[in-house]
Amino acid sequence: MDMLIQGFSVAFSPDNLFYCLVGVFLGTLVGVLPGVGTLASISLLLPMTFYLDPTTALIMLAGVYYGSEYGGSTASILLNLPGSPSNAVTCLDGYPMAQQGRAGVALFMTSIASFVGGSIGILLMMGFSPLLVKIAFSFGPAEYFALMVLGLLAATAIAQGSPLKGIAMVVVGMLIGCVGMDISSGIPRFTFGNMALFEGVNMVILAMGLFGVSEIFASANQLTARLTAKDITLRSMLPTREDWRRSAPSIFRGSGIGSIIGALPGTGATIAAYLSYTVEKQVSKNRRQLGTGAIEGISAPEAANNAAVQTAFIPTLTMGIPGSASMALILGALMMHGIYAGPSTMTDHPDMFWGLIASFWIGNVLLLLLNIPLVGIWVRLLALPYRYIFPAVIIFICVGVYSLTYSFTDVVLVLGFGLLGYGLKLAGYEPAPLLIGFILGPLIEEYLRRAMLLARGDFLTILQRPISGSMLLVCALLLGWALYVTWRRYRPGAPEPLPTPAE
Amino acid sequence: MIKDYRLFWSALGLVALGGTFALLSLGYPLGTLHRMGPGFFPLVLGFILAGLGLVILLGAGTQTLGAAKVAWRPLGFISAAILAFGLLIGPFGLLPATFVAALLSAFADASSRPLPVVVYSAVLTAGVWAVFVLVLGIPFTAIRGVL
Repeated sequence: MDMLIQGFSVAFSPDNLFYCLVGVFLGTLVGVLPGVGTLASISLLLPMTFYLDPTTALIMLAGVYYGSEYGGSTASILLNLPGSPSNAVTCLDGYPMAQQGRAGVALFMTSIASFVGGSIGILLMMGFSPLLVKIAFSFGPAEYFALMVLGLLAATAIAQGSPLKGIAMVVVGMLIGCVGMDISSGIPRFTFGNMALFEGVNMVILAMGLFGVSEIFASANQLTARLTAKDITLRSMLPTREDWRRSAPSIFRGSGIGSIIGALPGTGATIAAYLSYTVEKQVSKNRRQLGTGAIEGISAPEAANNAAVQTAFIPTLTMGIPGSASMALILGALMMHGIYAGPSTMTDHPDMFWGLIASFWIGNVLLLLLNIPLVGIWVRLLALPYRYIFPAVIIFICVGVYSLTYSFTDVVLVLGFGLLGYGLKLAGYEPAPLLIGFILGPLIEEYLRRAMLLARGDFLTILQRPISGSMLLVCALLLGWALYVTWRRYRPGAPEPLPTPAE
Repeated sequence: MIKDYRLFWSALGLVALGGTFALLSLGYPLGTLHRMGPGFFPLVLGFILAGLGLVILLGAGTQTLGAAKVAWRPLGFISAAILAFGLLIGPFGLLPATFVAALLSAFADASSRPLPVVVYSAVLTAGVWAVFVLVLGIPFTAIRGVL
């Protein structure tokens, strides 16, 4: 408790408060606007974080991450077009509600559900992080190696359309991560004598290209849906007693499901939202009405995705294992400040850890204010055509990349990665696993080398240790499952599944 | 028997990429399992990638992704905008580069009309100056020789 109070004193410092507001504001903004994703916006802000204290940077980036879950439902409800993938389920009942003239109530209820879901997620994070840290402290390099491989495989095999392609992308990312000077031996790898590559490929440029530029290639000239101005009055937002009564159990069910799903590796807010909607269809009293504008159908998934984005921080900060690409980016941003998240984060940087948690509380309250009294602004924003949005994003990317080292090469590189990302999408590959592999690859190599040194070169000892052994067994099962799924699809006539968008 | 050329070429690309990395890795000390050298890890990864590529390649015989729709217009205009920004910012400064890049990228949307685009680009340029130079204080040359 003392730690939390100390955390609040960190979070309430003018700088942190300001950047928390900036984070949640931008998060809501990109959440509301279809065609600008969370991953893209976090990468866009990375260059800015170099000028900030690591805690402040973390607070801002986290704000964007959970803030976008609030805003994402707005477009789902009003346009039947999800602002981000994790809000796609909200369309199912949100849009029919809007057609019935209950858009205001839907917007209000999603904000409340988001707040409750987020709060429960934060409470769980406060309770479980110290426990997990205790477990993580008993881990050696072998366990970390196994855990990271498991996290990588789970993140790709479960969440993506074609598991094998996802795993291939992870390996490509890990290979790109090998470029640069080898830490143990000091030998430069794959640099071809080019000095600029000694420090490796820059994460900021890679992320901006893969997610920012390629996203614009795909959606410029495509996104034409927009709102014809409609006003949402505060009075029209107030739910009836009946709405409250029906939403409450759904919100708690959604929060519970979201919290668990969010903390697992590889499953994020999108899966949490889908799963909680499925559960509502089974257990809700009004399950027959789901899909026709039932309020349970928006309360449950919105609570779930917000709970999930909060609990996603548990494995990231206590063990250094990100569950999704967005989390990997936040982890990478910390690495650029020289902070390697792990079990010692809580003891080595208590101000940062508890300051972040305190900022979550502040951020969620700010989001409630941003999303209920100020909802009119966001609604009007949806009337803005996409052609006025994407050039600004492109300019932001250019300026951000150029500000890194003031070099033309970096600008060309970001374009190159953008073209690569677009090409990958066209061929049915998702770029998100590539980024996770890129960030975790060097760590995995390091842990493997250390583990093998301790085991005197006997890989069997890693398999014999109970924790690392069982984790690697799960990895083998996942790989086997991925091959099985692929084999089944290879039968003539089986359709290639559409890749699901990453968070 | 190839049913889908996008799958085919992309899988072949993965095999080639994995093979290249594995081959290059042989140029670095491999070490032993006990003390791994810098070449060990990428060599293993290269083999894994090539293997995965081969399995995906098998699928190109039976699967199809459906017709590809390449967004040529955004590809052209936005690539040009980014390159223009990179080329102009050195000799002319931040504001001219921003203005030209905004102008070019706006035309990625087929419904853009010249006059609104010019006004929009000017507003965006002013915004960039306000955010990056005034608020964030990043040391940029706004207009070379003037600001």
